[in-house]
Amino acid sequence: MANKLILTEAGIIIINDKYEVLQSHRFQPGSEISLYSETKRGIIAANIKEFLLSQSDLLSDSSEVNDQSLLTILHNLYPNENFIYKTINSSNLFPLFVQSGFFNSEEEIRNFLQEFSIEYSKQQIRDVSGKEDLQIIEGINSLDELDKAINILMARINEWYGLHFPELENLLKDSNVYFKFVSLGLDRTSITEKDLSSFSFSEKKLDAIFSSAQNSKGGSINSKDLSIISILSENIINQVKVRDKVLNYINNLMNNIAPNLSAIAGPTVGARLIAKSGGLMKLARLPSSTIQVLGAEKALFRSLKSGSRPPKHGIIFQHDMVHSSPKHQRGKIARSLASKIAIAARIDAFRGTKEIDIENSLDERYREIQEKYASPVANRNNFTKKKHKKLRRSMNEKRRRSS
Amino acid sequence: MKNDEDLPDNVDWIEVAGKEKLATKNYVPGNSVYGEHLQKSSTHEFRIWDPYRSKLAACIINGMKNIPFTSGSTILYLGSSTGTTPSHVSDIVGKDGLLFCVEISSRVARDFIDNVVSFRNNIIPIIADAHNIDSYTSIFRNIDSVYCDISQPDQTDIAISNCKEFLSSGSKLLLVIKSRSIDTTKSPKSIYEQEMTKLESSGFDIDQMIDLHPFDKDHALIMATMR
Repeated sequence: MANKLILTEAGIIIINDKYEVLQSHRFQPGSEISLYSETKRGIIAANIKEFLLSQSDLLSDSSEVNDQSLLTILHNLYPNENFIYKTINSSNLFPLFVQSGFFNSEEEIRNFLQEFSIEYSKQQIRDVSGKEDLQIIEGINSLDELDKAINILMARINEWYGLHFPELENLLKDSNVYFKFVSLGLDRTSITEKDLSSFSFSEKKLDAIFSSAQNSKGGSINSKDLSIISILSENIINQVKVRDKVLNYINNLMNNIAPNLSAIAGPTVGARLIAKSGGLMKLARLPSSTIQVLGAEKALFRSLKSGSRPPKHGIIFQHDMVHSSPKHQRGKIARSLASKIAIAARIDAFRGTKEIDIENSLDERYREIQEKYASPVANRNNFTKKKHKKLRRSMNEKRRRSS
Repeated sequence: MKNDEDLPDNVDWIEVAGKEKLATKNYVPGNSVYGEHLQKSSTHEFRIWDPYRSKLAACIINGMKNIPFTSGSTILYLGSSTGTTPSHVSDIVGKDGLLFCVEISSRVARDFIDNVVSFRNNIIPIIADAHNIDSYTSIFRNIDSVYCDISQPDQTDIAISNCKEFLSSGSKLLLVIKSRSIDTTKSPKSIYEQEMTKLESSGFDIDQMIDLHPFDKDHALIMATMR
């Protein structure tokens, strides 16, 4: 009868079909975790290889192995034998540990395994946390949060400085210039040309600023108020700088890790897709129909539940190609964009080289849609509305019957 | 409802500010896992068990009887998450018991190990996908019961395959049914029925099915015995 080979955390055990230990190899105490995890990854240490090769008389055709990667290792060591993968009944492990001399009592096994599993889990967490797409996820999330924070604070300062000088907002449309102005902490009643020398305002602009400063509807303000507004404004200017750095960082990282995805979807939209799906590998495994509506879950599940019209696009709406197109083309463009994103993500995840073909074929299809569907199809809306009404009715009926 | 005989070992009703609350005897006195209130009685310290955070507590409050977890039992816990419920199960099984906790997400496993496992020597953490039984750490003791709380459409199948591998006939499975994870378009009740039929046709007898309302929406807990 065939023997069984068992990989455990403490070492490798060979038993016969009566569950008697024939041979065992204890991993070197202290390095069990590295030896075990290497074996699990298909890498074999010299000691273990020696042990496995020395047991040729015990390891014959149709021997059973309890681990897939050890099975592969064995097939490489013994190319002429045919081993079989089979899990081992857990209740037999305890006596085997004792028989092979690895441990003497359950107490010992318990302590060893608890320590082992904590360390092994920590190592697994370390491996996963070191992945570069996690950096992308945190990066894009901080970008979105920075944007949110900057917008909120900008609106607040507009309001606050607007109490004193409301006309300025319309004079300085560029928010960078506006907040630089506010950060100077100037009282509008005493602005001089010298105060504004760091700006390159035209004569006309300067005149407009001075005249509206004199005739402003704003109230008076003291220097304490001005200084706090100026500090807040400086803070915003800094945050905008930080935001640009984060954006730059994401662009670089995306071009390195997912060159095809960045080319098709753009670095930020690509990064948001990675963040939403939980990683590049996970994105690569999604069907394009899912990618198309990632980020529109609320609308999608509403549609599945009630039979209302499904969403055409989720995150990919932010892509120029989609949101700058006429409404009636967006669904088609979103569909073809999502399919190319799916292909690009798969190339990035599994091959890692840059492919130009996808970009070209997307452009081709984009132009085709623009030409073929230049104007909206008449009555089409009516038709889909009817279709969905019918779907909704059948769903309601189904629900009535099932409950 | 408040019948002490139906409670598992180390679980009791404790009076806090005039209200009876479910609590477990703290296995690590002085240690509060997720900010729960610690209440000292004359002999023991108790950790209040919040039914809004733990589905097992919710099902006990909603009347689940004869929970198979006792002092000293060995449990395979699938989907340990950050360890709210496992910490209370660890209180229940005590020093002779053992919990094998499987969790797939390394992010929540990080919190689980830091906040729960490092204080409790009766938990063995396993970061693995519960689909792949062979990636588990050696489970060297006979498993007495399986608790499964996984948000996957095929959660029942995962529970069944784990039971087939580790449970013997007559042992119990506690399965949390998350109807929203299985199918959002069907009514929760029809999903509970569907999953119970699946269990029955896979060699289980259903003992009880408890809806977790009002503590969790669209969730139920099923206790089943393997034939």
